[in-house]
Amino acid sequence: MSAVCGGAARTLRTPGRHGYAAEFSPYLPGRLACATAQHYGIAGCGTLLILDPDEAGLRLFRSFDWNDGLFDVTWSENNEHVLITCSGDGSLQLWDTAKAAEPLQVYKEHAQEELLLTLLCARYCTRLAGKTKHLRHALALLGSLPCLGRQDSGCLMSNVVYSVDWSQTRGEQLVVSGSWDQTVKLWDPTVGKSLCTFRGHESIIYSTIWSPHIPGCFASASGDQTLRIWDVKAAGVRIVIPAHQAEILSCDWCKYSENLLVTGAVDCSLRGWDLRNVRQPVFELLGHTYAIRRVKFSPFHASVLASCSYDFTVRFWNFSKPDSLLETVEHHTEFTCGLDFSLQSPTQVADCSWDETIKIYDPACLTIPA
Amino acid sequence: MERPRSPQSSAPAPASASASVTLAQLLQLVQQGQELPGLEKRHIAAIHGEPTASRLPRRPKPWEAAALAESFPPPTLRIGTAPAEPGLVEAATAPSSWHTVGS
Repeated sequence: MSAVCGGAARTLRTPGRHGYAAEFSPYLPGRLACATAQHYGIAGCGTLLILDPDEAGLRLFRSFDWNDGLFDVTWSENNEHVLITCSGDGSLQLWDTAKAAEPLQVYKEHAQEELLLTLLCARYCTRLAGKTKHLRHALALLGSLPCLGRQDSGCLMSNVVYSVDWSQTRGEQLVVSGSWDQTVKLWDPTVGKSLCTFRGHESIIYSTIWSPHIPGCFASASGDQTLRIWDVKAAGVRIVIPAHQAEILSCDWCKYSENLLVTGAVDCSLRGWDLRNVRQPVFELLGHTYAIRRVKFSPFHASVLASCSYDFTVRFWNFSKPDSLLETVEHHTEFTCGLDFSLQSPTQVADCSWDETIKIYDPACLTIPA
Repeated sequence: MERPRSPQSSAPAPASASASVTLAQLLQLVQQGQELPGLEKRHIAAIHGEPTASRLPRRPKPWEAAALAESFPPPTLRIGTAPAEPGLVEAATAPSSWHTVGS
């Protein structure tokens, strides 16, 4: 059953689980992995969901539970069964969709520093204060919170790993993870310990993404308001870009131009960066009304990208057009955190939201020929 | 807005699924030092196994396929500049059509 142009989304409801990240399998058409957490990721466990499309919409193929919330997911680039998630307890998990319900491996190294829940909620405030869509959210957040100290169930540590990505460049089997402990770690999934730790960011790291073109090169986006480009061979940073005057929650590489990246920030803007001249952005896309949570370049269209936001919407853009906003999709009722383009269908997109739904759909702007 | 006829399915609810608590309610409970409803505790550990053997070949990415195939039909939406180097789909230099939108 194929979707009509701009037709209805396929939806999976995930009661008790809030979606943080979604990624299509590079191998199996339509298979989607979704990293979720209980209680908005503040406390409780997490679940990795593997979905396949079927006649009725979306079918849950497998689900895998973890002890803490899951914040990101990345599929293996050399094995269709394997994927990695990262978690609020500072660890990464390697899963096999054809095997048991427990992870094959757990990688735990990101720092074990205790963070008071007060500070954690202040960080949520940074993203939400003054920009919350609903007054009830603002009231809850602006009240002074007591110092809770350490609780087994309630305290969220600063070692939260918020981002994980598997290298797409042929010949490599590398995974990069970004953490609230301000470090990026490099992993070979067959080795238990990290290969390298990258220091330099001065705040939480929200996103770490491999270049699809330049081997051993990845970008990171941080609460320190910089976008940094790192080189594995040099074991260090190559470029530091003060990209916004606000926390940067997401970044991505253009698939058709190896020097071009985009950042999405709490200032509600998307900015394009050419690594050959980083003094000013090459484009700026405005339209979102709250922080941008994730941005991705299209795998099929060189100047098309998508972003999702705390304003509940997903927006599609073509930065080479004077009127760059192509479409605004408003089918969620809470923060929309996960977003991915299909690698097989040029028109299909997936997203997930704190409203406990995961959706796969074909936005009109991708189905209508230019 | 979600259309009424959109296909929907539900994941099987976890064994002790809590009624959905709003973010504001949740933070209020935390502030008051109260137990969060339906908090699910797990004690899951790695089984230290080898992955299932892969049987599928790696698929080229859409941008790799586009670069390799000379007669590949161009994507629907595309920067309108000629490639700077043969074999590349898109120019390595910044197209003149790049500009800043908004202030």
